[in-house]
Amino acid sequence: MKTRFMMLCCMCLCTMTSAFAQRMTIVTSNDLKKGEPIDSTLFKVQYKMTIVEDTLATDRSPITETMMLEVGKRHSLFYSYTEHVKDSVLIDDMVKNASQDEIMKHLRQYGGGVITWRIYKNYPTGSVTTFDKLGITKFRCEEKNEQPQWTLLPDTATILSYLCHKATCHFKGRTYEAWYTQEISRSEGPWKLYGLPGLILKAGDSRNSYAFECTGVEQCRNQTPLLLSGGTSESINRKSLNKLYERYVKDPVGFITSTQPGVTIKMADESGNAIKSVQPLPYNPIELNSEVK
Amino acid sequence: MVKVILSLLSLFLLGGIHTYAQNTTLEGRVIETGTRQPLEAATVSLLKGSGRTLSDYALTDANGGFHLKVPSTGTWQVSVSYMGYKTQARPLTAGQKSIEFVMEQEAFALKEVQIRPGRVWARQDTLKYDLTRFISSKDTHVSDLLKKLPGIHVEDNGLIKYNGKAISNFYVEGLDVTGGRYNQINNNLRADAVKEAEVIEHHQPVKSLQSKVFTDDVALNLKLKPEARSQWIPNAVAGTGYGENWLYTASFNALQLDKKNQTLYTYKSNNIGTDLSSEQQELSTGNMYDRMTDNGVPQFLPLPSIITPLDKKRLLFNDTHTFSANRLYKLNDEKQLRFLLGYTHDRTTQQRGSNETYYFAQDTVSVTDNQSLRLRTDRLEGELNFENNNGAHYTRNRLLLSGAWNDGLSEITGDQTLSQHIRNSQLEVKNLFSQLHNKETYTWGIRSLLRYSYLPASLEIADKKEKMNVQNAYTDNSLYWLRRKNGLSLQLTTGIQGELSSVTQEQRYAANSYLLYAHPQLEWERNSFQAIASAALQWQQLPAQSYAQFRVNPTLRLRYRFNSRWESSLTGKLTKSAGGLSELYPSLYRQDYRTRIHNSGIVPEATQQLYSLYSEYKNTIQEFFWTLSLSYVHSLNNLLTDKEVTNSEFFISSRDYRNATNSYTLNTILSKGVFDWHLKTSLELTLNRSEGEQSNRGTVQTYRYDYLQCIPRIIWSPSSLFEADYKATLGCSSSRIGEDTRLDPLWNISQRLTLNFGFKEAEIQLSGEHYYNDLSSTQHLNTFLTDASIIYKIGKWRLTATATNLLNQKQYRYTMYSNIQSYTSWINIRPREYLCTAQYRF
Repeated sequence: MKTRFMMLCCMCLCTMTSAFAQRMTIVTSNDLKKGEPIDSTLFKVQYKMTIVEDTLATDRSPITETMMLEVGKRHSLFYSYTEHVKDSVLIDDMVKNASQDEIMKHLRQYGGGVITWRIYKNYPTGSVTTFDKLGITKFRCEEKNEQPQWTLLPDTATILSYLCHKATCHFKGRTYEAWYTQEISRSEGPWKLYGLPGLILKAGDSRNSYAFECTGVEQCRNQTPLLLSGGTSESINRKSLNKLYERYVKDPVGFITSTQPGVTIKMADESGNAIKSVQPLPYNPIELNSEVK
Repeated sequence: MVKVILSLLSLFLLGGIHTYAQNTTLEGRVIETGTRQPLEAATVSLLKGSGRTLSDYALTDANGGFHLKVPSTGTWQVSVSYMGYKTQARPLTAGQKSIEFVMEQEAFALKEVQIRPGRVWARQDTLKYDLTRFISSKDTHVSDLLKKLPGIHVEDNGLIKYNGKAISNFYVEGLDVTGGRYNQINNNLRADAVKEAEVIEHHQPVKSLQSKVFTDDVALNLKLKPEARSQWIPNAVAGTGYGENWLYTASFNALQLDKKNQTLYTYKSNNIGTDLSSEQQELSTGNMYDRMTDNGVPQFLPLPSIITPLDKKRLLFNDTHTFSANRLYKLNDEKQLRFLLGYTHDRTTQQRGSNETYYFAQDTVSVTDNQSLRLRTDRLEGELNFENNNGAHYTRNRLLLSGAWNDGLSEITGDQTLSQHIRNSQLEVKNLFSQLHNKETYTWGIRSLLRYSYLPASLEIADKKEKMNVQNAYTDNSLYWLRRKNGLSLQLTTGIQGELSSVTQEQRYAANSYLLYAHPQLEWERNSFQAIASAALQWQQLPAQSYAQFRVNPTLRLRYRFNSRWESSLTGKLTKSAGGLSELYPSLYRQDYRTRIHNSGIVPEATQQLYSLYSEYKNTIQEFFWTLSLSYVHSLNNLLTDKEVTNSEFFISSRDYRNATNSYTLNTILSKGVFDWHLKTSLELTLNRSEGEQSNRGTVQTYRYDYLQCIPRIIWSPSSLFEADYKATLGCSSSRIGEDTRLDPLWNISQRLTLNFGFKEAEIQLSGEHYYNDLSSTQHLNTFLTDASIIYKIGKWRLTATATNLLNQKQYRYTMYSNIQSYTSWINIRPREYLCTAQYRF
């Protein structure tokens, strides 16, 4: 397999205290493939996503990531813009056969994205499809497009000059509060949230672990295809995917070496000294198996 | 009683049945007109009454179908909305059970909120400015553009500061073609050729030390637009005009800046008051690892300096030519080679005078001194730099050759009438070598500096000529070792410094110095906290002076990063040092026409304690930057300067007297950009108090000098039609000398407003300056200066007609305090002048 490891450890690249810093960036020839158009994008919404990954950490300093929601006529796509920019730069480097130095420099500049999943809502019709990668393995998880059961509340607020109304729901193990606007009459929102009579501009869970806040709205005036990209992915159901996440965070290196025989990983700390084992990553997934109030 | 309960119960039950019976299920379908295809996920809202409040809603399924429960009491409406279709609302009739909506397409327009990373956005230690969002047609060169960036401040000499810190490295596309003389880029590269400016905090350019050694350095990198890269960018300007004399200005430059090789040629010449000396000036400090201590060459007969209480262009009567040629070859990803050559010829004249008052313990002495000054300087400089920078090794060698030939002629009137002629030259060769090797568990390196300087100088007063020739050879060689593990790093630098320094007047006097040192440094980092502790152990010997001293100079620095926006640091430092040749030379000599110096021959020693607190906050989304620095410096000296004034002649000597000086400083800078208003505002506030002692004929007296400065600045460019730039400097100083003498607080205020009006191809620029100076507590002076210019752009031509100092002011007066003296000075400024220039962009 023509796999090129662009980067093994991003640890030296960020000063974040979170174990997110240990995430690995691996770009393979699979990533060079362009996506196939499945819809045309009507408008894009940019969100600032705030995540508290390590709920046990003393400072609980959140990580922020720029996310993008592309809304098409039938489908929608929600992904990390930060990660997308980094991937685009690295793919470009790979095509140009850029030097390791150049790649390292770009990783330093553009690295730091933590959300690797991409969510296609209502694709295929009636389903929601999640693409994610753990190490080198790419997964595709198709589930029923489950609509949160919202309770509408009379509270109003103005977000980015849009008049918004409040609604709450209990969804995938967490209680969410959301603000939606009827001025954009499209039942869409960040992540898997939708089902309100308008676009969700702000949402967050009651434990303050995950929050989304709209930072921009842009209408696509030219024909902009909504692309289904993900290359060759392994189909997996949600239950098994959650188990893999748990396994991965406990031992990321072990996970990669066990799923990809023949791959050796050399790890180095910030000073370039070899390190033998990696601390387990904190685990506070957005979707909880057990019900948490 | 039972009857009443029963009847109430029956009423309640009936009521319940009644309510249940009143809920009707409305079924419906939403389809598209024309194709009659079902519309999925359309929002169907049930609205109550005339207020049309949302009571319930449903989304249509894949077949366009929906269900809604409608209570029969009240009036109800059903509304269907779907982006890209016209919203429809229809009233429901009582008991209506089905409804169909046929939706008509409609162009939709969103109230857009720009999706942007912002004009300024931060990613880890890199801050990016999208320059395309800051540029206006008025910006000619990069320096004009950089001034508009929030958080960045460009000083009058071109020095760039980010959050109050001067930048250490300046790159274009990651390469430094000017070797730190970045004005050559900023004043010559076209503003519209650059796309992005990156500020890299905690910059460590040496790859072998990246993630190992922390730095506080800030670098600036400019990224060019693709069309400007890889091609020559030539530019030519020529202009002429008339004031009291014939005026000229000319410049030609050609830049080629790509990611591989970079070349820069510039030639500039003028006599219109534009200072070109900063074009050849090394403004950045460069890589931290390559910085080696060099106290420079001792000076005995310095050239009189040009005084600039106003913007230099107002008072420089100059005739300057400067040329530079730079070439950088990027041999591969790791290696680069750079050649630099620069030459400047300058002839400047200045007419000035001052009444100086010295408040000595015994008496108050006044001196009147007027000077007509002519300075001629020639400076030639060449540099060859090689760098090999990769993760495993780092090698850099920098060879510098320079020559300066200076000539200063002064015609003095006032208390004395005479003529003074100072000639001095400086010929210098300097080599800096540094190397690093990364091993498995540690890093080691060597650093070496070798310099030889020869400075012949002479002073001629009324046909009496005195010569003082200085020879100075200096070397600093050290070994470096670094080990880092688990957030803890230990660095050890050990080496030897040697200085052979002599001055020949009638006899030769030498003050050679040898210094052995070991400098361990411990750096500990955990999460957001960092501590650096170091102690420089030094042993210094001056054999001819029979002087030897062992000293320990400790430093402690704590830094805490509260979050990605806010960090603070606390520093404490103790430094002991001994003086060099110019403070040691024991024979009496004349420095200029009115100053004679006689040192005691005792080696001067100073012990300095420094404590400082620094905090910075940046919020790139709000374009808000703030820094605060507080510092206290306490110096203990073994010698005190004694100043004596007799018949307007100064006699300066040093005496064995332990004394202390204190300095307290507060500096804060606020900078805020408002994207929607195209506005940048900044405010800098400085408060300083200095305390010390000064001696006059053996009598020691204390002094205290207070100073306040406040600099507000606003740059506002709301549209291409209008741009305004306002800057004010408010300064107030007061002084207390001894116990009895208090000098009144004096205000010096200057304000400058520049307005730009653009009309298609033409542009008008008007600027006004106002100076308010307290000459004494009762005497004030207001000075107004105004300029106007018209710019017309046609094709590749840019034609400018400028009139400066329209009110034709000839002189500027001001009063200043320092230590135990006050002086009220006057200086001639450039008169009204008219100038026309033509610029051609190839």
